[in-house]
Amino acid sequence: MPSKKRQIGSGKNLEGAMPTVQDQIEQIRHNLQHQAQSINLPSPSLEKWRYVLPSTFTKMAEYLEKKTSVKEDRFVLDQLSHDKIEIYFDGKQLIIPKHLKQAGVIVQPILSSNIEQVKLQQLLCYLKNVSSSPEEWLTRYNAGQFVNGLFIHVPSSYKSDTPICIKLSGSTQKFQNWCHLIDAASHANTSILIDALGADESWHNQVFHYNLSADAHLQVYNISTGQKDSLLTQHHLASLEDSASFLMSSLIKGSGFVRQQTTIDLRGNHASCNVTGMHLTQEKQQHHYVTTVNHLCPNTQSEQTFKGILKHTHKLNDEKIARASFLGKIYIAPQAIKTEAHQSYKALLLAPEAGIYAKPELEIYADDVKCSHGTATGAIDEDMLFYLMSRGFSHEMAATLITAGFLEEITNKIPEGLLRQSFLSPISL
Amino acid sequence: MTNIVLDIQNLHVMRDGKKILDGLNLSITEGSLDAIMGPNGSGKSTLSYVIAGHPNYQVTQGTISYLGQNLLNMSVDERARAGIFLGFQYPIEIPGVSISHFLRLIYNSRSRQLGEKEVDSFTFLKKLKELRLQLGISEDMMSRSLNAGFSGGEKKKLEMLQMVLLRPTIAILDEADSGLDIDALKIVASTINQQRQQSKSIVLITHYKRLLTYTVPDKIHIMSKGKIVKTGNQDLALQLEEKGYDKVIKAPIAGSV
Ligand SMILES: Nc1ncnc2c1ncn2[C@@H]1O[C@H](COP(=O)(O)OP(=O)(O)OP(=O)(O)O)[C@@H](O)[C@H]1O
Ligand SMILES: [Mg+2]
Repeated sequence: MPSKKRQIGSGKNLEGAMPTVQDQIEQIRHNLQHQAQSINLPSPSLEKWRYVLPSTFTKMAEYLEKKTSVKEDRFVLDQLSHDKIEIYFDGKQLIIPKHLKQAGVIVQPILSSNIEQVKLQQLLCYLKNVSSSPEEWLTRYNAGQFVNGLFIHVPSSYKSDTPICIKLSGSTQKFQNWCHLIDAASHANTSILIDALGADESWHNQVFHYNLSADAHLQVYNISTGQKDSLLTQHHLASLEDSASFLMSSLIKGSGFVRQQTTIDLRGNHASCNVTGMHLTQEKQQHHYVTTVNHLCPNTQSEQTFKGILKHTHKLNDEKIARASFLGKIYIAPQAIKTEAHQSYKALLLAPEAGIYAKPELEIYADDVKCSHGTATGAIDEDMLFYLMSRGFSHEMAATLITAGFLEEITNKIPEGLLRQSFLSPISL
Repeated sequence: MTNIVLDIQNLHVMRDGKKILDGLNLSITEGSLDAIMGPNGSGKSTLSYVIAGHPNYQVTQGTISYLGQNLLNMSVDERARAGIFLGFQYPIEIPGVSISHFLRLIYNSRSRQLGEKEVDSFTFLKKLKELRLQLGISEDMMSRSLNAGFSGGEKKKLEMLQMVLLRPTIAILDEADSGLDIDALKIVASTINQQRQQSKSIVLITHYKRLLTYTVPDKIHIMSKGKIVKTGNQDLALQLEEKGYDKVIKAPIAGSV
């Protein structure tokens, strides 16, 4: 197995010569790794971490301390309409479905001896811009430590409704950092389904960076259904040029702790994004959504719709009840006139005690913008329960129907077919 | 002797500390059509909720037996599965629950209980179409959410459709006729008549004698201040229309049972 060192540093660094892109990448990562040694874990005093239980930071600290060595990364890549092709890779080989290859789609490990200029440029650009804010410590940590990830390049000519499906299965590693770069060339149009299955007693810290050139359209469907004791932290960062559109739809169910952060930069005129998310949170689980949409250009549009279900059966102490939060920020830069931004979060509580937190944040510096936000949480409607039960449904089934109906505003937007099946199968009906 | 399906004795019911039913007696026999009329606020809907098992009403005294069982010990869904149907005065809107999906679920689960075969979606849609046409329910309603944004009349028709699909032993229809146009009224009446032919019992709560001219009840009960104060035949509805509740209630018993 090639060492990490060789993978990154295969470029030669001749005395006096301009450092190659690879060398620059290696240098940045080296610095980041060095910084990570003195990294301070965040605390709930940081705005973007305010709703995370203190015990979670303790757990994270334990993982960081005894982080195990790099052993094996396992990806499964398949396209839903085709036979599943499993790709195990440990730095050796990645088999791409033939039709993707023929269409010019590049899929390869981000750290490999396989040098694609487009990949290196993307990676360098990403690393150079990693935020140094203490709130983004995990993303920064990931940038230095990630052991691998996928690079996907979707060429201009590629337009397909069939999603490329990435399953990130649990590996033997307790604590693993992955970084994925997805690059959509101008006019490309594709969907990606990400299925993160965290293994028990593990912490997966994943970063996804999406780069959308002008007129590119990317739809990302992201499911997290980890084992009950697993930790999952994700940061999805998207950057959009003129008239690009980015759709992201997430479902969080399972795992002990999930924090999904999404940061979208609308950098081009008429760029637009539509971000939706659901969480189904039960006893002892924590699910946190943190989103930021930055409107940096005129005529940009964003829509955020989040819905959650919270359920626990007992009155318990704070550490044990289900807990979920939504922190949503809309930033509109002074130059971003004629911008439209909407955000809503609604939660349905099937629990005697609430454990739900929501905080919208608006920073608007431009005139002539349309902006709205709203949050609502409420218990399940008793009259609805009574009505359905009077038709013969058990209490549980009635609640399930109401719950599914509550989420329908989001679920009905998921395209029909296999994608819908995969995406919605965790919502049992 | 005719079989008694539902027998209510001396029923006292409170809600939020307020006494609403006050010693109500009512017996419903198999295959009969009983109408309950009464002023606003007399407790008609309350009675229907209590029969269906609404958790917010406290029965402080009295009994309800259904086919010999103690109904008050049964949960809402158990009562429904035992064959009690409540057509709501104000059907509840449930966003995001598709009507056709919902209807198939209730139809098939009822079939299972009755020991009949469940049907596939094709067969069900065929059946649904037939009933839809009979009840004058448009097709596009079927793809919408349950009751959401429906007109008053549309909601009432949908309640009737649910009744037919659920094949209850007894149906309590709370103002099934309010908000219906004349054609719809006749359709509802004929649906009720079909149920009667299958010896299902129907309790019709209504304010108007109009529906009762299309489907003639066996008995008319007048309810006032939480109890049944008078029981009679079709004449009673006529008297009410002419004289109003006050006089009829106070009048000496005429044609009472
Ligand atoms: N939650 C409540 N708290 C107090 N009083 C209530 C409550 N719910 C109902 N009531 C009262 O109980 C009485 C009976 O109401 P109900 O709805 O049963 O009347 P009704 O006979 O169906 O009237 P209508 O003909 O207008 O439909 C009314 O006076 C009503 O205000
Ligand atoms: Mg009423």
